[in-house]
Amino acid sequence: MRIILNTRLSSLSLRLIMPWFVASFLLAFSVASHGKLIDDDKILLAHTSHDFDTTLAMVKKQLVAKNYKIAHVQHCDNGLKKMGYEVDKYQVVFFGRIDEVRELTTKHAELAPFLPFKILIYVEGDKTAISIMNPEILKPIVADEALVAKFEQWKHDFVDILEQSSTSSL
Amino acid sequence: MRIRIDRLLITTFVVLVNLFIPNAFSAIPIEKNAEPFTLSVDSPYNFDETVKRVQEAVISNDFRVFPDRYLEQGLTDDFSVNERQLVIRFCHFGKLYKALKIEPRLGVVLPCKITVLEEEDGQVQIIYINAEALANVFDNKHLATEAQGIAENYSDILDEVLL
Repeated sequence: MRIILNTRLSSLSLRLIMPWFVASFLLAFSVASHGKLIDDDKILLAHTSHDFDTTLAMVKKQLVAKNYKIAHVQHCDNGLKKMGYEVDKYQVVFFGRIDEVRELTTKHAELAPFLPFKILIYVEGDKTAISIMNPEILKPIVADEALVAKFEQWKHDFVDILEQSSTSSL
Repeated sequence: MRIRIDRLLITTFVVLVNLFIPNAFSAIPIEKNAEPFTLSVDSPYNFDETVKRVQEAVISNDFRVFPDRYLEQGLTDDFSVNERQLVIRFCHFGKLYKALKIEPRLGVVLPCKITVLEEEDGQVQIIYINAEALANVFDNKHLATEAQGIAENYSDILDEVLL
């Protein structure tokens, strides 16, 4: 009797838990099958079926929406082509918020080579790739508790920019 | 017994979820004593002389120099830009082409650059990437040789600047 009761309770628990488990599994499978970014990678990367120009426009739109200013766009592809190399589209967008850049260079001049931030857009096969360095990798280097929340916020922004740019339409 | 079975089920559930979504609840581990991604050196010269020496050393090491940019340029109006923070950008297109074939995501740290900053007390700092340490973030073992080459280039340039 006791065993039967426990078995019933176990079945009840299983019935309660299984939908959550299945949902979690489907979510994980869905993310993996779409090749979307894994947001604790050191280099964040997303692929999209948008063409290069649309993706670049999307990235710019998302950056502006998050109050980042675009400093300039480096056309690495043009430079390489001028030197005789055959390359597909490959451009880097430099961006940042002036107050944050000033705060970082004042407190941690050693971060200067990473400023302004850079987001890379390039053609890879029949997809367009968007990539950016995960700012959280700089956390242990500066070891500044006051900046931890900033690094996390930037990472959150960058993940969002990659996701929105690769999935939304103009 | 009842409690034990329920706990077992919940534990199993948590373990399974973590197995199938390995990154869902984790973040980049903080490595203590991590190797720095950038290197810096105090310049024995004033700001203008340091900039001139870096530009000359970059060219003499077979790199093409892009127009210099102030670090804040484009982020604020031209009158507010700190002109004592200059980025000297350069590239060796042959090396870049070869490196991109190995690691297409390399653009997230491009181009090669040396930043010259003047602090409030007038001390001038030269800051540049630690190419070998930074290469590790790409988790691409084929990049090691290229990174070592770039690190040697930076070292040669700095030697020339500080001569």
